[in-house]
Amino acid sequence: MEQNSHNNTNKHTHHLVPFKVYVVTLIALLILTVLTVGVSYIDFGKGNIYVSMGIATIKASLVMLFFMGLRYDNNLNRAVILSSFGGLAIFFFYAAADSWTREKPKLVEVKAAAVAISLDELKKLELGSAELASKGKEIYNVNCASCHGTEGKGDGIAAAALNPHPRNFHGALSDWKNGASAKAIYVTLANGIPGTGMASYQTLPVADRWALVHYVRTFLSEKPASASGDAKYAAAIKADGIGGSGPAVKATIPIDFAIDRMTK
Amino acid sequence: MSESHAADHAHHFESVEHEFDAGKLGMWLFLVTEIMLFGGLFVGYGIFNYLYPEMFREAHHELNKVMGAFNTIVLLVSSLTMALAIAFIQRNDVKKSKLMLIITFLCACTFLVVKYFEYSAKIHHGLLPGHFFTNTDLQSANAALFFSFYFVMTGIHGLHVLIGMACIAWIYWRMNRGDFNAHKFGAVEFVGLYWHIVDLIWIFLFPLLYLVV
Repeated sequence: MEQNSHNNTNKHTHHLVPFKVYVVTLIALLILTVLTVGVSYIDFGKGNIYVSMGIATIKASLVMLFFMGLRYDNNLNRAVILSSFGGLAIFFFYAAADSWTREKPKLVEVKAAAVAISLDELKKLELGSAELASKGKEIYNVNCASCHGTEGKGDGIAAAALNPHPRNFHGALSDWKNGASAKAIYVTLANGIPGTGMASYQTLPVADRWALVHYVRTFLSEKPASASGDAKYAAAIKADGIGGSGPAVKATIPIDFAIDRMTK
Repeated sequence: MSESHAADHAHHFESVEHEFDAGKLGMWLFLVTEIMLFGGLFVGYGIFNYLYPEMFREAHHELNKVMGAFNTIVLLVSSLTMALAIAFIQRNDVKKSKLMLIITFLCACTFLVVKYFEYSAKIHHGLLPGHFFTNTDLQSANAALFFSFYFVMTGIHGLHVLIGMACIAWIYWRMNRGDFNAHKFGAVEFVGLYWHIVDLIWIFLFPLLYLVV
């Protein structure tokens, strides 16, 4: 009774599948849906993806066999649709073989660079002085240039692979997430920007960060207005040596992976 | 149906059955290309999930499991009603077949309404991908990548739902006109196949985006 009814005689009739088959198929699909949601609350580690993909494959098979009628279809149609899964398998195989044989991206720990300037020295330097900025340049080239570029144009070697791209310091100030005042840049350095490649540089000594702020500000095409606010903030930092600290973003950044991809 | 038997099928086919078999093969071939289209997205998803498992794990918690599960059930039910629409027309029951098409269409509407609420919440939380990503709650770097996959995959799937709805409406209109009967119902069958593939893709999208990682 389950013979193929689709031969090429003119007299063939379509196989009438009993209604019950469809209803039972739906019930099975609903049970499997509840199961896959339930299982997702249990942590099997890497096992979760295999369990949920296994259940999804069973569900897909039920849909194809009974709702799409592959159970009653002819062999040509079966071969056609199965060929797509063969194609997908090849696609997955080579993509996986490539990914698994490459080094995984390691998140780089942001480490303190050699201290370029001590807090005592900082206190002696004038806010916005060329000397302070030149100290900042040393720190910048070690810590920042790989993404933001040596010219601060956001075109460092790793920039292309980061989404969003690193800030171009020469661009419009209105785009800056925290603003471009010295205080704002200091806070960005301390906290990083969540959801972006900008990590927290809280591990850099306060004085280094402050020097960095001044170097970055030499790139700006326009100076933000609140210079007096900056001076007050600078004074506060000089006084307590702490400055803006808050909840920090993880001090890791996927740059080595990005550089790796760019240079290969 | 007062037309003569000869007008039941296009002139370049020998018979209705010949037309049906050719059409069905064509539909299956088209579905192969659909699977390949989504296959590329699945492979991309797999690669980046492998590279940034922690980011995917954190980002996917932004999605609403309950809404995803609800939509899964809606699509499964719509698959049943679509299959029943074909089963009824095979038994010459035009009235019930039309009813099943209406229910299928309403399920598709429900799916899109739920999707609308989900998208609104994501946009409200600044989770649009690329330049538009403004969310600052997520800690992982490159979290925008997960939402690029989310919006592209569910967006293309949503587009398929819309196209499916248009096809179902077209089939309903033709059925209303008396084009189909137990002898001739090819177009209903082919739209059904398309609708099932939309469901089938969601069966994989739901656990991958909402549940896994």
